[in-house]
Amino acid sequence: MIREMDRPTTAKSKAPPPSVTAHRGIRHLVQYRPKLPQGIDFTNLIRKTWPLVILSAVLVTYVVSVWGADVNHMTDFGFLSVLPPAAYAALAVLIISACILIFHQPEDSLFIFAFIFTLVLLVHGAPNVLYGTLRYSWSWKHVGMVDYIQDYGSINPAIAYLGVYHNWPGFFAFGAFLTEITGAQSALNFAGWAPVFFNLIDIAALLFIYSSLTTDRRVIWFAALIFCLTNWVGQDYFSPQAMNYFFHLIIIGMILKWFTVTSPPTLTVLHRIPIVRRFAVPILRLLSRAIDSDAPVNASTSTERIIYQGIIVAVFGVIVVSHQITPFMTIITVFGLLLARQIKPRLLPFILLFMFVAWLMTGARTYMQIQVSSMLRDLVQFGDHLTSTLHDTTTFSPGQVIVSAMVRGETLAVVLLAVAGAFRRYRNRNIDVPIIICVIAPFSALLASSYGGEILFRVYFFALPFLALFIALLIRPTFRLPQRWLMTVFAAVMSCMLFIGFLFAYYGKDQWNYFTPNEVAASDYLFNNAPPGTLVIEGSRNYPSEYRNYSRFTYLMLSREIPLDAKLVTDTTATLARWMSESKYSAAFVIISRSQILEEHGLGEIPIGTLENIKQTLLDSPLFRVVYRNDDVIIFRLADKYDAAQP
Amino acid sequence: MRQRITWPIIIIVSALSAGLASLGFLPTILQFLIIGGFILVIPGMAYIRLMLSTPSLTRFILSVALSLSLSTFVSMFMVLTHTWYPLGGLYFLIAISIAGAALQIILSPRNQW
Repeated sequence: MIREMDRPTTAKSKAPPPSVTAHRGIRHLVQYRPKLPQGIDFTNLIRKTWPLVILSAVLVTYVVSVWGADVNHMTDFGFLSVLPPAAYAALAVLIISACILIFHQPEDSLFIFAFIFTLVLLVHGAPNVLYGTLRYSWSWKHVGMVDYIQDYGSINPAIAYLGVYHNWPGFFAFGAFLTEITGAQSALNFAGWAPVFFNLIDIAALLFIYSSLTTDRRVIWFAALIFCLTNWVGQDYFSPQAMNYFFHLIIIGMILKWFTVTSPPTLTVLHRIPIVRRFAVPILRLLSRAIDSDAPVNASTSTERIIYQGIIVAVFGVIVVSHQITPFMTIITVFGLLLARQIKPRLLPFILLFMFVAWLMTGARTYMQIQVSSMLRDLVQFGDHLTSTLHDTTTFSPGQVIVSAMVRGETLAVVLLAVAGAFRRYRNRNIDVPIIICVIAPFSALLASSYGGEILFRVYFFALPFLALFIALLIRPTFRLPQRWLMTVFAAVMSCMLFIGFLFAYYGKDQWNYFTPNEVAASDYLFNNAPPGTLVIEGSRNYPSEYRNYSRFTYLMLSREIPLDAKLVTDTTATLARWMSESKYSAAFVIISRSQILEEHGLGEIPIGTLENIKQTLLDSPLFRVVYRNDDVIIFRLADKYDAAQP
Repeated sequence: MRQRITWPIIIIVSALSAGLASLGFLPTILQFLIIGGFILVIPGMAYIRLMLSTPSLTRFILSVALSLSLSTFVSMFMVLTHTWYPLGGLYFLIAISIAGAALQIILSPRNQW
């Protein structure tokens, strides 16, 4: 679909000028130089070694500079605040060098891959190494679900807490399987490397998609680089969505590679469709421009196409049992391509739809029965998703206001650059209908979602591979040297700017996404020692929570209860004592941690200082006893229950 | 001929290595790398190579997708049928990988031997 720009012929420049040919004998004598020893081509040697030298220098500089970073002293800007200047310089050199490689040595695929691999490793691997604990509180809950399957060997779709995971358990079943057969005691042992792993396989899937759309290696690699620099959403942690995103890309890639149409529909066919009948001629013109005769040839036999469809169905089967929103995104994209007459197999989208509905009515039936009313309510309150997605930043700390502005700026920049890329293609008389559909289709998820504020991020996440492709098409240079250097400079500057936005967006909340070893030790104490039937009252959900024996406890979040129950602030001890002394609980604990308080300060979802006040009130009250304490966490229990439990 | 049997041999050796590693006599990290590597690529590769003659990058990507899918199906089956026996699941994947590799050898044209 996207053809490589014509390479200018070099025949003229290589042919000697007529004057030189005419006086060749004389010139030969004048220009005689002794021959250098054969075998050493210095230009070629430099060309082949500079990437290796740069890569080694970047790695050494980054590792040496970051090694001593003190993650306990992160400020409001998260991990950014502890990265030394040398680390930023190393990353900038890496990105600029990658741009030069991509635009000037696109045939050196191995080097380009090594640069992108290193970028992923440094950006996503460094926090895991430096923190030493699993980043992001939801990762811990997913480990908890894996732990549940390891313990029980089954699921409970009707379970009261985290029921959604029991209705879409594919990823967790796989996680438990992997943990057991590899001898890892817990998924905690490998979950920290999930961002590196998922980003790498996503890039492989993107190379697969892009290579089915263009033969221009510069576009393919640069789009992959742009994806790395703009994928700030953070859906790459140990989670079902991370794995299913890879599967989604594979399915879209296979469809674009082997099932796209090679000729536009005839006017007669368009006249048969009632909706488009009146606009048949302009639509036909549009579709004709969308089919590029220079697109890569992805020929396949009918047997192979059947096999490909079988693989698509198998992979989609995993998506269907593992995640709620990804199958919807896949189906909507495939149907979009079908409706725009960009793909051939008409039955396949319906098979995918059938599989999705079948799982909702069988495996996820329990959850759907409970959630159907809230889903309908979501549909009615469509506009609320958009407003709730854009947080009210007036409650944020000053640093988080800047982080939030950077997130919005980054997203806007990506969209605008992609639009400019599409416009450039349009001016060159190309309309990339399949890519445009893949960008637009995820927006339909805004209609139906129980994801609340997260949905806009998901839409961006699913559209990003194709937005990145349009950005790569925007700055694709011709092969003429001056323009190529100009575009390389532009690409390097743009990449660095996008990367700055990425760093703020991706690392900006790490002050509370990072959990200290003290916090992990406290959670270990709580979840290993609390008897079944315990009530766990948490300052907020942002701490290493529910990763062990999670189904044995009942959870209650103070940050959620405070806005609902004013007595919790005015009469803290009596309210908490009442909850904790209820006879249905075998024991009850209150846990308040450093990361909960930091999140409260950063986002201001409850009045700043509330958790600290509660903590102090409980410390001062004779009704409560401290059962565990370290520098970062304090755990309380009712004094009479605690005393009764002592031997 | 060498090219025809290289991958089947790699598949069989990987499968057997994963089986041996699962016995638990190796350090955990090594066991994780051997079995994780097997789970990630090999079951899919055993059948993708059998069915399709696509370029190597495409074949690799599809192998990873198919391998992860097969492993997820196996684990889902055990969870849904209340027959949780992870080692049994691993041995099943090893068996189908070896079967795929054997089929690759058997179905390769006789004159190539």
